[in-house]
This record gives sequence, structure tokens and C-alpha cells, in this order.
Amino acid sequence: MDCVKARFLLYAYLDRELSAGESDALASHLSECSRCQTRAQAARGLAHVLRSHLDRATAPHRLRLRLRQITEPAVEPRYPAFAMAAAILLMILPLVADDSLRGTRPVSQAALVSSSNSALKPVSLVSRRVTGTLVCLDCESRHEAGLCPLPESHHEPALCAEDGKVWRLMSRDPSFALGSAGQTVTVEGVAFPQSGFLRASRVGY
Amino acid sequence: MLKSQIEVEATVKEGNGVTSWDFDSQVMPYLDSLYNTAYRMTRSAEDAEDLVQETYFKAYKYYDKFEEGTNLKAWLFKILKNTFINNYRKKKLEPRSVDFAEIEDSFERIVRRDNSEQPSDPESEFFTGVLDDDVKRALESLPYDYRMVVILADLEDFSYKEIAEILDCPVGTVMSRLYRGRKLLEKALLKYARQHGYIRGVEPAKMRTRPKTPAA
Repeated sequence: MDCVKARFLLYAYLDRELSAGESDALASHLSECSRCQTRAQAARGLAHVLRSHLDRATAPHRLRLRLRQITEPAVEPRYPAFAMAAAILLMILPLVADDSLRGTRPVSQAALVSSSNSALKPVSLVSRRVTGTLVCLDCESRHEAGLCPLPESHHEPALCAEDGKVWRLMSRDPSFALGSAGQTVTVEGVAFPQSGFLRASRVGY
Repeated sequence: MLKSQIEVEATVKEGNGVTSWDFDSQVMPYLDSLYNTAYRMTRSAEDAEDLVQETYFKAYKYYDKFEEGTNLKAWLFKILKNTFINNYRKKKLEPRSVDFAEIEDSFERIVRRDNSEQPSDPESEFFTGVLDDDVKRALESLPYDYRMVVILADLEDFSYKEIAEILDCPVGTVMSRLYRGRKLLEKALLKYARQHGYIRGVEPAKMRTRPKTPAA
């Protein structure tokens, strides 16, 4: 391989885009040619500088809110009082299991309208079915995972979903049975994704 | 199978056949990448937000055209790039880009010329003195076609094939634009390094005759 060819392929070599044959040929050229070695060093230096000196800009929160409005247009209720009543009714309606569904996905969507200072702010209520491992956040934090049968008053039951998200579980029903930490369960209920709460209405093992 | 009232409601899907949750959960993981690229391309936080919002909106609208199982990130970046070109080039916020007739057809000629310069390469040590701001300035100084390809390859870690897909061009074009873009970046950084005195104030003409020894 000559220097022109080596220069031609150098970036592709550093980007690991060459075939094994080309890559070997270039590597052997580099080992013999100090000039191309210097070139390769500069190219590596540049790649490093780009990664280490440029902060990654992250999407601001207000952008996330703007995007949410695209996929979840605000519901303008014609009869706010009815909408509120309907929303509360929907919240307490138990969800019926559909065994063909797995993992985390929405089962429903409804709008709850809360009134504050006469301005109506629609809030999305999303029912979800989440499959994951039961944990106790309190016991986990004390490294006693698996030692606490759930639920007991001091426990903080949570669900480690299959996608990695942790949901804090709540239930209004005192007889609500959760089982034991470490168990894999599917929980259905109203989800509050931003705060990470899942108000469970049904649990399947 | 019984269905509650809520479930019946849930089966009413959006017009494009995609639930907002499906879409959201698929696309949101790429939001920061999209925003970072938009920010580097538009050079303004406000424009970047608008660009990402428009990209997101188009992606949502045409999500049924996206083939399940293919590269979603590349698809989103393609929309971002098209939106950027349509909006920002038209508004003339960007200087006219490169003359592709000159660079694309003569990649090899450029490489030959670079190679014949004696020696044209800076010692890589000068990079150690580079400031964050220099790197930002150097990247922003690139014509947008070069900037885009450098961002995709070096900041977003796309493969050449993916970049070719995003830019709608052959892989060979990706290679030549990357070559030119990175060389221009190097040149700009070298210039700043000289200005700041990080490397000895040798003129390019003198560098050519300087004996090739590793920098101290």
C-alpha cells in the first residue's frame, strides 16, 4: 500500500469501517511509514478532542413539554364537571386483564380536569400494564432485598419493569395483595410517568 | 375477553395508526441526540428546539411510513437533516455550502495533493492545548455539509452506511466529506493554537521545511 492509498483509507481505518484485509494492509503500512503514522496520530487526536471538548447539549425540559403536546393534545372538556366525574369514575374502574398483552403498554387514556384559579388544566391519566420484579425500595436501600414479604406498612413496594424503569406502587385497597419481593408480576393501574407512581388496580402473577 | 370502558377507549388509535405512547417510547430515547445535533447545526438553542419540534412532529405524522425493524435513529436523523436543509438553507442563515463538483469528484486528487505537501501534518501534541471554545468555534466554522457528516460520525457514532442513508448519498461521498471536514477542523484548530501560542509561531511555509522531529 502506498501513502496516497493509506491517506485515502486512514479515516475509514480509524472509524473501523475497513474490511479485515484492507485494515491489515493499512496497519502494516503504518508500522513502516513514520509520516503516515504522524498523520494517523493527528487524526486520532482530532477525534479525541471532538469528544472531550464538546459538551453534549441535552434537550431542555420545556422542549419535552412541547413535544408531549404533539402526541397528547390537550382535551378541552365541554362540561368540566362531568369530565371530572367521568375521570374519577375511570380512575376507580378496575381494569380487566388481557393475557395477550405483555410488558409495558398503555391500556387506556383519559383526561382528568382539575380546576385551579378558574383555569382548566387537563392532565393525562394513562393506565398501564407493567411487568417486572417486585422490590421494596426501603429494604433495597438497606441491602435486605428478598428478605421482606410484601406488603407491610413500613415497606415501599415498587416494580422494576422489564424496561428498567422503577414504578412506586400505590393502592387504595387495604386488602390489595402484592406477594413477595423478588417475584415477577404484572401490575395494571393508572400510571403517573413523571413522578413514577403506578396506582395498582390489579396484579397478576 | 372482557373489556372495560377504559380499554375500549384505548383501542381508538391516532389517525396514523400509532398510539402516542408507542411513538413516544420509541422516539424519546433519541431526543437528546437529536437536540444535540440540531444545536450543533443551527448554533442556537432556540432554533434547535424548533428544529427538533418540527422533526418530532413530522416523524409522528409519518410514523406509519417507518418500517418496523429498520433503523429508527437513522430515520429520525434523516428527517432532522431534511428539515434543517429546507428551513435553514432557505432562510439563508447558512452560507452557501461546498462546491460539490470540486470536492466530490476529486477526492483522490485532494488526497494526492495533501500527500505531496511536505509535511502537511501537525504534530498531534498541539491538541492538548486546545480550549473547549476553540473546538466549538472550529466545528461551527465548517460549511454545514461537512459539519453534519462530522457530527454524525464523531459525535453520534453513526456508521458510514447509516450516514449515507441519512444524507441520501453514496458511502464514497460520506468518506470524502468526512475527509474534508476533518481536515478543515484540524486546520481551524491549528490556527487557533497558533493564535493562542500553544504551538510555536511558525508559519505554514516554514513548517514545510522544518525537519521532522517529534515536538518536545
